[in-house]
Amino acid sequence: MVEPIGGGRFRISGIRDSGFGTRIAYAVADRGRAWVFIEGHTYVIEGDDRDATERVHVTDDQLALSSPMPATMVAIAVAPGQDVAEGDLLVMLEAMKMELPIKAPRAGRVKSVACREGELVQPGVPLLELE
Amino acid sequence: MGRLTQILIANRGEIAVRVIRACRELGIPSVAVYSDADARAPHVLLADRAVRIGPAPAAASYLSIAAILKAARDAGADAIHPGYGFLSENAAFAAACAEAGITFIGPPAAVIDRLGSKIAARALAKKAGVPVVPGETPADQSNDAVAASARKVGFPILLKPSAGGGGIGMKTIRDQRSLAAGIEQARREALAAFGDGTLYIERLIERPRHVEIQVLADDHGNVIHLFERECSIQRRHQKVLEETPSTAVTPKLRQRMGDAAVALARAAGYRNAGTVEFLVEGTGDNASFYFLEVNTRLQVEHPVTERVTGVDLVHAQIAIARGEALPWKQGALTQRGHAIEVRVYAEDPSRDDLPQAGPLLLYREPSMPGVRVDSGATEGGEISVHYDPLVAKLIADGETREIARRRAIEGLRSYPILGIRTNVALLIELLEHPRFVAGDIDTRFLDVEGPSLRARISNANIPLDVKEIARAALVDLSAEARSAKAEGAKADPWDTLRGYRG
Repeated sequence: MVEPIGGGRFRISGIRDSGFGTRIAYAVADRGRAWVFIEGHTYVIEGDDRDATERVHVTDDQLALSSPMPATMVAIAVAPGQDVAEGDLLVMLEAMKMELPIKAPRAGRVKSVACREGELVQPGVPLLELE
Repeated sequence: MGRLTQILIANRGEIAVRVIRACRELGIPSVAVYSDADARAPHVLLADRAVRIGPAPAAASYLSIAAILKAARDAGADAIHPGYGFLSENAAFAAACAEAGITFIGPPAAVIDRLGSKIAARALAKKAGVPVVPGETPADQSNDAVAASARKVGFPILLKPSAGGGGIGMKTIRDQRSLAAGIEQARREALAAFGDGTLYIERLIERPRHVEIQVLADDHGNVIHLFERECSIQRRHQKVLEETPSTAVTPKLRQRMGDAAVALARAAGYRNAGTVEFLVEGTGDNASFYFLEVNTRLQVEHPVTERVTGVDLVHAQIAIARGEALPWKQGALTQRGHAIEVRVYAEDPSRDDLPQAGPLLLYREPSMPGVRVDSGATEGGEISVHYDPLVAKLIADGETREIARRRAIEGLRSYPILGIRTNVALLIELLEHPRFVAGDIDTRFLDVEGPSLRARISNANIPLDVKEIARAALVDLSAEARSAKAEGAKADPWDTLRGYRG
């Protein structure tokens, strides 16, 4: 049973397959998606019941070869014409004081590099091209 | 000496909040500074005054010496607390403060400068009799001379390209038999990578722990230490969990390390709060320790020291900056109980700890026995893409390590943060890991155990029907929103309020 008790809190009890008694969960809805927190675990549930916690496998080069967030280009590890294996480091970005490695999503040859060291890069813009 | 009639805090986030609280406790007016991204941040709302210093990028705001000094002059602040990060270990900033007649709450510029240089700091440590990792670059680089030098340093050794960095071309040599071949291979790799075959020989520290000593030094010649902090749980040189006491440190080792830290602080002419970092090899009375570096500022992990010693380190910093003498004698200080800090980061453990920026749609800090939360976050606020992803620090303490550990877990289980991904679940797994429970940790712990910790989160049995809660949340919250909208259309609630006297 799930009973809203206000302020984003939900009293849950009689949960299937659990040894728990009553617990308080926290949930909030945002743009058709629900965030749920129970006992230290956070789940993101899409409105259409697709479980967003399942790992998304990025196959699209454009997405894989771009920064996930605004970042600074720290180092470019490859040059055009170079062959790379899946998982090889291509470029190192820095965002929020953290290193963000961009790795090859598949084996291939570097066709072109479209960024410079020290440059501020925007999310979604491919940093290099693989052929 | 400055009277410190008004302190400007040249920082943001949790540490700015922490320092402003200390100012309020001491009755000293505080001045916050903020970038355009932080206009309504908690540290801005908490301070007595707030001054805008520039646009969101740190280089134009929190890292701008000119902007911060101008803010201090405009606000009439006569002291600056730099927090950690940003300008806190910038000797030019400390010098500019002194030049402007503003008390920098930290060591003098010359001390920051000297300790900021790895080579100068290592030389100073050696001179003060503090052990450093044995190593040398032989002047004679012939294979025979390098081999002789390796035998002198003692196995196991690490051969490093003198010109290198970042671990490239490093070779581990465990004994005499593999030495000759190892030198030749290391030389080839060094030449290929850096065009220079000069080799540096260093003793390899096996399974090191990162243990640091907190020191305080005043203007009257008093230097004391406040024991150790164990910081071995780190990844990519970023600490994740810190605790005190360290499970590796015995009373005798503690005394030796504390004495070494104090000797180094004295030799450096140190003032204010600082931290001497060591690598520790082995455990027990006969463990070896080696000097790493000095952090010339307040550390992120300072609260664990506060929990076990009872000393408020920010109060101490302010008192020292005022020219007061330290009120504590070394022999009177004790560690009572145990404290563990975990750093709550906005990051996604399922995607290589990718930092996350976004809104804090729901954010409730736990309040319970033995749990302290230092944060600069608030519900309705956001984690900005412009700064580091630290959301908060949760510090748990107790009479024993086990109680502190259980309290940290309980605190995290009661700490909902929704709207961004965080490492809360990962921290719980870490605190429950058998090796952590046993205190069997070293600096490679997260490299070795991280994958299994992550696997446990992603495969975690969902013990309840989360979708049912999500459905209820979606229905309930959209209904709430609808009715709020409908009511809003009818009347402004402020128009219908009536007086109430309780």
